[in-house]
Amino acid sequence: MTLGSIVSLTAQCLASVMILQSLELIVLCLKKDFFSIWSFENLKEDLKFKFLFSNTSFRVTILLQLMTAIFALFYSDSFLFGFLFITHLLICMRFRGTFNGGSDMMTFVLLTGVFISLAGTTEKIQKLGLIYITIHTVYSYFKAGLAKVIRSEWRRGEALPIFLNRSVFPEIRKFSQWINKSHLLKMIFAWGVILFELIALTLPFFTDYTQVYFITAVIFHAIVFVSFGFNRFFWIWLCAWPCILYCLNLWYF
Amino acid sequence: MINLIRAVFPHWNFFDRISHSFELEFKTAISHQWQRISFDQKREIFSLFINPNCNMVLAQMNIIEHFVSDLQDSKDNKTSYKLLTSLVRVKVNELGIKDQKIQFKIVSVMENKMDDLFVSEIHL
Repeated sequence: MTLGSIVSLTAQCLASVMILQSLELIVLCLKKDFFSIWSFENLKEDLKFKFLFSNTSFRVTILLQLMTAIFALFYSDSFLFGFLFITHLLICMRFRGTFNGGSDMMTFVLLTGVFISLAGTTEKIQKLGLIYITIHTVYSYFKAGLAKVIRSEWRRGEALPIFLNRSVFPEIRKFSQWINKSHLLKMIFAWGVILFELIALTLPFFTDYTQVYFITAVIFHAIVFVSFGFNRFFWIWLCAWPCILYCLNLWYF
Repeated sequence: MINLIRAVFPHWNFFDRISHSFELEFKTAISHQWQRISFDQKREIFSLFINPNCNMVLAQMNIIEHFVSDLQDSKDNKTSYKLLTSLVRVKVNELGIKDQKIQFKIVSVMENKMDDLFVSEIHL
């Protein structure tokens, strides 16, 4: 695929994910309990520029994000993605930093990379945006693995059932108790996760295996979704993959 | 302010350190018995695409963690406390308990050891 088509594909994937994110927030705003907790009254002491964060402003921000994301799906324009960066930031600030942790961070990474690529007037700058996304995504897998492998509880296989036991899904907690009974299973699952994450750093040297890693990554994110309900993680990490597949091939040219 | 824009500066440590988990419990003026507040979720169709209920519950659990973090860092936790109180009120209302005085506490859980970390004042 050409550089232009990869930039467009990534931009369209990102716009689609931001449409889903906006719809999710709209559904939340329609629930009566939502503003009972995240009301402006509760949050106002933490927020500067208060007019941007009132309950009405929050609703307007989400609607603007939805409309901009729909436009961005059809018109890959840097201005639209710059605007999405601002709306996403306002939404995160309204939740005192993040609404959904790592998925919000990866959304910023993609917004930044796509913005650079679309705003770039030369091929080098356009590639720079894609490389920014690739480095962050590959590093996100590797760093997550590194943070695990240095901890003895992960190396001994004990950490995984503990984390699974904190899932919001009762059946996953039952599953964690089941794997906790077998030392072999615990070790297989824990080392499976660690190795999958650490191996990411070797992708630039073994580009023939990138597609195999990609399929494994889809399965990995699907398992994380089933275990913890992180649907936003699933989609936003997937959005980065066209860049990775393209950029890792650049390595040899 | 930096804390509010922290998502712009990514870090990628997921599920690395086993720290305490936290449970939220409440009691009313009538029951006097501490009851655990559940954050359990049922699976929903299309939740891979749009998952508002689960993501709201995850954000609610973040409120508890944010409050504990503020508490441990001796930071001003007025906002965290307001959010937490509203969260408890919403959860208690979901159980059909309304118009009663409530008190809540945060229980720190590590393996099978449970400790009361914070006990609130009584709220109307």
